[in-house]
Amino acid sequence: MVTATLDASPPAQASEPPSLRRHSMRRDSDAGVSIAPSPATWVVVLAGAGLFFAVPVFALGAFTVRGGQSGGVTLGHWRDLFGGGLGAGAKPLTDGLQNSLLLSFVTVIVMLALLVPAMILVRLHLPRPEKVLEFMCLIPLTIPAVALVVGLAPVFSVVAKVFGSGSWTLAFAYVIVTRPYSYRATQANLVAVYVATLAEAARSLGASWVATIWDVILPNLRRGILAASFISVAVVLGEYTIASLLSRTNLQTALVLVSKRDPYVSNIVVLLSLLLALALLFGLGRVGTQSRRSRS
Amino acid sequence: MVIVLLPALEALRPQWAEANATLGGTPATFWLRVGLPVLAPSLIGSLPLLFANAFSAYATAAALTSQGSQIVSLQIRTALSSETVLGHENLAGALALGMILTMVVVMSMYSVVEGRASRWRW
Repeated sequence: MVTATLDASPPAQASEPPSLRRHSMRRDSDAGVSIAPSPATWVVVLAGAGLFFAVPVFALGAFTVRGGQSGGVTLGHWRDLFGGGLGAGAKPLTDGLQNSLLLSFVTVIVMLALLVPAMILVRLHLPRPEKVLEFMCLIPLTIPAVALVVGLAPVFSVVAKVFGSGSWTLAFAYVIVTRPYSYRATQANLVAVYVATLAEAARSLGASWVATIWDVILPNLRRGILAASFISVAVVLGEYTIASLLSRTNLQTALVLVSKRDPYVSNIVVLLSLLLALALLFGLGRVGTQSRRSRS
Repeated sequence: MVIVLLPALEALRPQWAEANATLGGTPATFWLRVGLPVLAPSLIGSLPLLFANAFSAYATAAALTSQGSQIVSLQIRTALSSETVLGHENLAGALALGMILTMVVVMSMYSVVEGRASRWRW
C-alpha cells in the first residue's frame, strides 16, 4: 500500500516541479501532494457558493421589474422612484439617505478625533493601558445592540436636551457601535509601522510633538485610518436597531417604512445600496493593495 | 463564521499534506486524521459566535414581523416603546441585563475554545 503510493506520486511531482514551486503558496492541485481539492471539487464548491450569493441578489433584481399582480416585466417601479412618480412617498427615503450620510460623516469625524490620538498616545507612552483600551474597544461587539439601546435611551433624553433631537446626534451612539471595527483596522496598521522609532527619529531631528504626529505618524497610518473610515461608513449605513428604537430616521428605518407602502421601491433601493456596498468593498481592497505595493 | 475559520484554514500547512502522502495516506485520511482534528477547535469555537450573533439579532425580526414579540430583542422593543403597555422600561432593563449575562457566558466559552484553536496558528 505504502510503496504503491510512493511509486505513483513521484512521476506527478517530477513532471511539475516548476509549477509546484511557483504555486507553493497557493497550494495548487497540480502539486500532486497537497490539501487542495481536485478541479472538479473546485468547480462544485465555487458554483455552490456562487449560487448561494447570486440567487437572492438575482431574485431581488427580478422582483424590482415584476409587474405586480398583472404579471409581466416592467420598468415602471424604477421610473416611479427616479421619475418622481412617488410624490410624497419618496420623502422618507430622501430624508433617511440624507440623515445616514450626515451620520456616517459625523461618526467618522468623531471616531477619528477620539480614537486615533488615544491609540497613538497609548502605543507611544502608555504600554500598560493598551490591554484596557483593547478590551474597552472590543466590548461593543459582545453587547447586543438592543441591550445597548436600553442603556442609551435615558442618555439620549439628556443628549436631546443639550443638542436637540436631530438625527445626527445618533452619531454619538454610532461611534461606540463602530469602535471595535475601527479599532481593529487602525490597530493592524499601528503595529505594522514602527511608531516609536518614527516618533523618536522625528523628535531627535527637532520636530515638535504636533509636527511628529501630523507629518510623520499620521501619513504612515493612512491605510488603517482609511480602512477604519470605510468600515465605519458601512456599519452606519446599515444600522437599524438603534435608530428605530430611539425613533430617529435613517436609511434603514426609512426602507422598512417605505416597504410597507411600496415593496418594489424599497427593494430597488436595497439593490442599489448592495451595489454601493460592493463598490465600497472593492475600493477598500484596491486602496489596501495599492499602498501595500507602494511600500514594498 | 468565515472570518473565524479563515485564519484556521491558513494555518493548515502543506507540509502536513506532504507528510500524510509520504506515509501513504489518501486525501481522505488527511482530512479525517489531520485536517479536521486541527480545525475542530475553530469549528466548535465558531458555534458560540453563531449563537451570539443569532441571539442578539434584532433588525431582521423587527422588519419582518409587525405583531407579537417572539424573541427577547423584540420583547425589549415592546417593553421600551409599546403604546398599550406603559411603564415597562424596567422590564426592558432586566431583559437587556439577561442578554448581556448570556453573552458573557457564551463569549467566555468562545475564548476558552479559541485558546485551544490558536495552538496551531503560525
